[in-house]
Amino acid sequence: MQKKSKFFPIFFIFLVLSIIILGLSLYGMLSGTLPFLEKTTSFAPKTVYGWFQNLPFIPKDKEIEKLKNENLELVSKLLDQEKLMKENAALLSQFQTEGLGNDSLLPAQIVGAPGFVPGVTEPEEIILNKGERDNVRVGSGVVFQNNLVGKITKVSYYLSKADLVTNPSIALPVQTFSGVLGVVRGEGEDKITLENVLPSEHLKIDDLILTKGDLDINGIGIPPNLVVGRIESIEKIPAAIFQKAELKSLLDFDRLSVVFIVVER
Amino acid sequence: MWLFLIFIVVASVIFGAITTLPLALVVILCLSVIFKNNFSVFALAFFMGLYLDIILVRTLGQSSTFFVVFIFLVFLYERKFEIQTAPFVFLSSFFGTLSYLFIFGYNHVLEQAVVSSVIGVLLFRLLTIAFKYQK
Repeated sequence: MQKKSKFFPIFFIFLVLSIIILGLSLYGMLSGTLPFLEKTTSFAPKTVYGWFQNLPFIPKDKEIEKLKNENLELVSKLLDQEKLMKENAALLSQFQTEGLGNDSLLPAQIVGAPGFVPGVTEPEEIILNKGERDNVRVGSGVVFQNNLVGKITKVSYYLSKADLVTNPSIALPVQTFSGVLGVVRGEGEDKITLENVLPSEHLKIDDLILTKGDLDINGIGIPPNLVVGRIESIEKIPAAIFQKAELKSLLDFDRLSVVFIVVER
Repeated sequence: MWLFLIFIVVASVIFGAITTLPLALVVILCLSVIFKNNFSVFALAFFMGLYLDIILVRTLGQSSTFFVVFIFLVFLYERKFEIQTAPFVFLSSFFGTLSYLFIFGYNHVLEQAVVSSVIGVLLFRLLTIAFKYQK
């Protein structure tokens, strides 16, 4: 019986402590101590994630990996060619467009990417080893080789969290090469849906879906012309107001180890 | 024995980096069922929660509040019923994991809850055998 009554005061002490820390954290009053805590604790998950990526029993089909990398390079070249054609047309009509310069991309290592079954199910968010100290802001885009990885949703002093493009919290305006407009939403479980496409527009299987661009005046946000995914199936119901499509990202999110964050120039 | 327990605690927290399974919750539950020291269990829940919030870039205090309340509910149940049983560990792991994943917005909630429950029961069996052997 002694044990039964003794836990109430202990519970209240720790509950009050937890709520105080939660309140202080919500109001940003722990910004002094949090960086120190992050610095002392972040090495462990970083090390574990690095080991995990190199485990021998997580099979990596080399031939498929090689083909995927070649595919990414070809898509990148295709985008460059498309961009050059547009810039050429813009120069002819005396307008100028600017691309994403290297000086606005910050390389960041992935130090955590929790998934239900590591290596089997895809993660929906990643933890990066860059934070406020490195000028990372909430809303910044995360990219890899002209592909959109996701968007930064939380930043602390040394770390940041990005929701992947498959995360249900993601919704952004997109377009195809031929200029068809729509909205992409993450559906979780590695699924992305293209919605709000007019029935009169023509979508094709294997069409690439690109970001329309969502940068603010400081250059923070999602840059335009990044590949979100490729159309795998189209749902066109005659009576529906809009048509939909299922997309698949070209990236293997659980194989990524380094990504790039769009930062202020 | 203590080294073994420390290893389990550290491993479950570190593996927060690669899996969404709340192994920390399962470990705290098993230790609360077996250990008689209330203060240690609540302190463990509190600090493991803080650590998870730091490495997963969440608002500090969220996980520790959840874990402390969860352990409180476990101890409340103990006032009426026996908790050092595998069915209790299975059910409390299941519902604890279900609530945790639902609150923090993860997918595959049901599957993860079942897997966590199985891991919880296995860990509970392992710890009870280890304690009996030590005695």
